[in-house]
Amino acid sequence: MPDVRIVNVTKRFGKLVAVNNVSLHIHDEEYFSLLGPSGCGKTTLLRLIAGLIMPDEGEIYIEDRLVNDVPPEDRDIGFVFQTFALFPHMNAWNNVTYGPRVKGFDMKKAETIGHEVLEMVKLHERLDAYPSELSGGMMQRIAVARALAAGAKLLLLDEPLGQLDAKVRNELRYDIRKMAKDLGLTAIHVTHDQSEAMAISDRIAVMKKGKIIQVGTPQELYMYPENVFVAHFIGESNFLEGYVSSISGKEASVELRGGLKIEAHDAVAKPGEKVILAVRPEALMIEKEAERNDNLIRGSVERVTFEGTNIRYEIRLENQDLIVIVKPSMIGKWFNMGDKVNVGFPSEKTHIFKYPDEGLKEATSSE
Amino acid sequence: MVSLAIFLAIRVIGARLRMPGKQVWPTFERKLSYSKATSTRNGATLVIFLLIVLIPSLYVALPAFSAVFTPTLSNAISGTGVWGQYWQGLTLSYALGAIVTVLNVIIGLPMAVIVARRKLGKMPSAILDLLVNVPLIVPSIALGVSLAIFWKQNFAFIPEIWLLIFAHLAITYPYFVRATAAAIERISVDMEEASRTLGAKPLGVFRTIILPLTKYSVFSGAIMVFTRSISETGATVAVSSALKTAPVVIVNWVKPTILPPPATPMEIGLGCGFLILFSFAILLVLRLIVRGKGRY
Repeated sequence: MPDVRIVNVTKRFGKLVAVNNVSLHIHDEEYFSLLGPSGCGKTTLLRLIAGLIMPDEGEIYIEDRLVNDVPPEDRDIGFVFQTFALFPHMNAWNNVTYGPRVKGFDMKKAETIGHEVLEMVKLHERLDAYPSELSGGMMQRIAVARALAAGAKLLLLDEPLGQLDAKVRNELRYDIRKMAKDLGLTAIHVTHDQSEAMAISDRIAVMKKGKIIQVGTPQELYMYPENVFVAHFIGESNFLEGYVSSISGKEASVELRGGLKIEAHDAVAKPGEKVILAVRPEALMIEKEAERNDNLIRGSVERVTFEGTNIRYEIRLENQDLIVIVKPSMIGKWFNMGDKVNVGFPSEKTHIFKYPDEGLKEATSSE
Repeated sequence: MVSLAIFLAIRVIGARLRMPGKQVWPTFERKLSYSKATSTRNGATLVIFLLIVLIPSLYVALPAFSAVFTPTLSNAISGTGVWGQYWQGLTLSYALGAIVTVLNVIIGLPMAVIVARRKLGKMPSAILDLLVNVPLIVPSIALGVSLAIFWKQNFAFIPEIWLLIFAHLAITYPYFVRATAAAIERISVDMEEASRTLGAKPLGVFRTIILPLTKYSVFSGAIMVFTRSISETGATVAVSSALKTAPVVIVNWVKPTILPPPATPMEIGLGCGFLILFSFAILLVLRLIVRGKGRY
């Protein structure tokens, strides 16, 4: 099954640079996601791989074959559209067997493949139904079956779950991944939903404004974001501004507003540099009485929100910065509004990022 | 040129015009929506249609009913006297309509795809979209004169029947392209792209996706071309002196160039009646075939 290599690819639409000098390598049989906000270029990149549009610069290789000038019908791909794109004048069976038929497979082979994929998507009893008679989830299953039946080695999915309700989305995403894995396909899945990408991907590329910001496994992206955008886009982060006061090995001491100091894990900061401290809400510790004296900041509970599985605390720190802490509701004690507390920053889970030139708001913006 | 400029202005300005719909008159609109008001409105609409459109259109054929009780009908059926020329003209009209319809489908479909899918780029396709409408703007007699001069001056060897075909083709072309382009535009591009990713070549996409989804619009466009060609008079007169279609024959009966007039009012009425009856019958059959279908 193919790997896909994208080498310095750029695509412009007039003055807009939709994909900006992107390079990427997607491995054999990998379930890979392109994740980012609307307008970041992920669908454009997917359509470039599919051959539906041509790059202005750069090369695209599928299984080591340069495909820049190869039309979509010759790339051995299956494409699943957000709008399903089922042919309304054909029933489910004819939609699914369309690919084998136009490729000239003999009828018996086409029928065998059709039955196999319909069994896989569990819609064998709806062969005669037309798209207008199917629910959204069923239509998307037929669309996936159609893409698989065409003999695709590379499965491209453009926000395939975007038009479905939450329950169907949650079920179908695992089914799609399982089908791709069972068939040994390479899959590239475009989504703006980070929980979807995290749940089903082997690796994810986070994109913003036409560029790849970071590539990694879901765990790597979540635990070790490389910049404020990824830290903000994937999951939730608290951001505190400060200056590096000293560095010791891989740890740096950061002075926050009001002279408060926090030790954090550092990769690149220099003394005196303006930085952003980022820490996940669930990584912070909250204690009534201080059990240790380092990396603690005092504060008071400003708001408590019960979210079922978790409790969400908004804490006003003593330097007036506001942070969020999320704790499991069934573990540990609860705090109330107005409680004075100590917030602990585990240094290994507190990241330092260089302060973005464009400002924090712009750097974390999804537009 | 003036008509083209006006047409362009309408297309450009019309797209930018906002409906003045912000103001609401709930009491007035509620009164107009009551069943009494809607019944009155529907009744008035039907009456106006009958008095202004239908009855005057069919009035000329009324004498045809009284022809049933006279030798006029039997003369008509046997082709005696003026009727020989009439039946020749009618045969020519329907044959010409059929040929022009087939040719329009062949040459109009690719143009409809170009316009609908902006194959030449946004601006060139928009200009082409506008130019396709030129035969609609130009009066048919002027179009006929222009075509006659163009073909006769440059290609004098072309037989008159072909001039007639070209003239009718030019006049009916926008009807077909407009209807078909609109139908193609309604098809999501995703479907064509899906088809290609599944392995279909562009011609295969057209054959298996575009054509089946637009066939009833293509059919409707073809019907419009056929009926428009049947009724065309001005360009036919301008282009051809020897060949006379049924409408041209009837015009010569109504406004004769020689006296006495070649046909009586009863014969004129019967001639119109035949034309209306046959055309209506053909249209009815074709409409019944496409009725209610093609709605995806």
